[in-house]
Amino acid sequence: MNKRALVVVVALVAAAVACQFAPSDARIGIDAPDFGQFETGGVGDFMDHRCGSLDCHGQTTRNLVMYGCYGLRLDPDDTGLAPGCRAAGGVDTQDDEYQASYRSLVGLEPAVMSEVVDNGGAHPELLTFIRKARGWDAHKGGALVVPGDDQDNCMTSWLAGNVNSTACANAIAETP
Amino acid sequence: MKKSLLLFAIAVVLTACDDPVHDAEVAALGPEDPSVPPGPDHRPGQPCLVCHSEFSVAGTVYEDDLQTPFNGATVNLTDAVGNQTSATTNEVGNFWVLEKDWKPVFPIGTYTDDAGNTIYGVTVVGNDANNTAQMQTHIGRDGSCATCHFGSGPAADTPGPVYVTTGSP
Repeated sequence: MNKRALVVVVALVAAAVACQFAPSDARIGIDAPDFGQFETGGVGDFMDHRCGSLDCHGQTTRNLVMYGCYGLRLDPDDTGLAPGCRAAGGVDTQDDEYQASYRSLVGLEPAVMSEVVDNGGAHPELLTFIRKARGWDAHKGGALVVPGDDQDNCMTSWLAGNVNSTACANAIAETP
Repeated sequence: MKKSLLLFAIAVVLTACDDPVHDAEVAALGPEDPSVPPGPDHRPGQPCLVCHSEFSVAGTVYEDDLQTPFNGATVNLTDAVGNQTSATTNEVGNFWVLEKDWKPVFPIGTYTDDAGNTIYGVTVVGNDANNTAQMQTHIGRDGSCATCHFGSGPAADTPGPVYVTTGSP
């Protein structure tokens, strides 16, 4: 093999190998449930209320981080001496807090989230956050919801693309 | 050879008992104040249950300057199924509840009873029964007040120390 042929072969091999690896800044898309329903349909408020206390998912060190008026704030100025949606001093959950919570939740298991959403919300239990909430996976906070109750319906109806806002409102009212 | 095996077995057992997360939590508390012996008065404002697994709930209460310990405040607790207990703060503001005396069902939060009354999971009463501090949000799982209530005042990740306003005795 002459020198020129060798160079060509090496270049071809190098090009082929280069295509086997994704670039380091590659991104994948997520077929995510609707943000608008998360923010205004009550899902974000319910999950902040139920999951986002400062000793649970209202901590930046957690994989799932919930922001809002029941616990962790993005802006310290939004925190009153007695934070909480029902307390004087704090302010309601802000748009950027809904955004941050939504991104944290949707980005936990992007491939699984896409699969659940693409299938119209079927088998939401594929998602770890649903299994943990139901107590089917180890969860330090215990089993918090029962399939079919208002809390469960709030989250699963959102995954199915048609949030049950009444269930979300009831879920907040029914839980401490 | 036998000796090596024995040493290996001991090393495995010792390593298995390590909990690096817990070790880091303990280390983060820092050393004891040399002027305060370990006991009821030590480490006010720190998350008690990191070390005291015999407690179910414990913490420190301050006056409304958020620095002066509130001696003699009563902390009333109601868990998710309505079981109640209370504890009184000592001279450094510390209080604790032993798990053998009261093991709460979480969350400890705010409820409305059958008569429509609001029941607060945590209420702190100072020296004025009409001037109490009530926790508005809930405790999800951690009985150490200082896990959430820390620092010198409210911030994005804390409401600041637990305090009750001083009033007329």
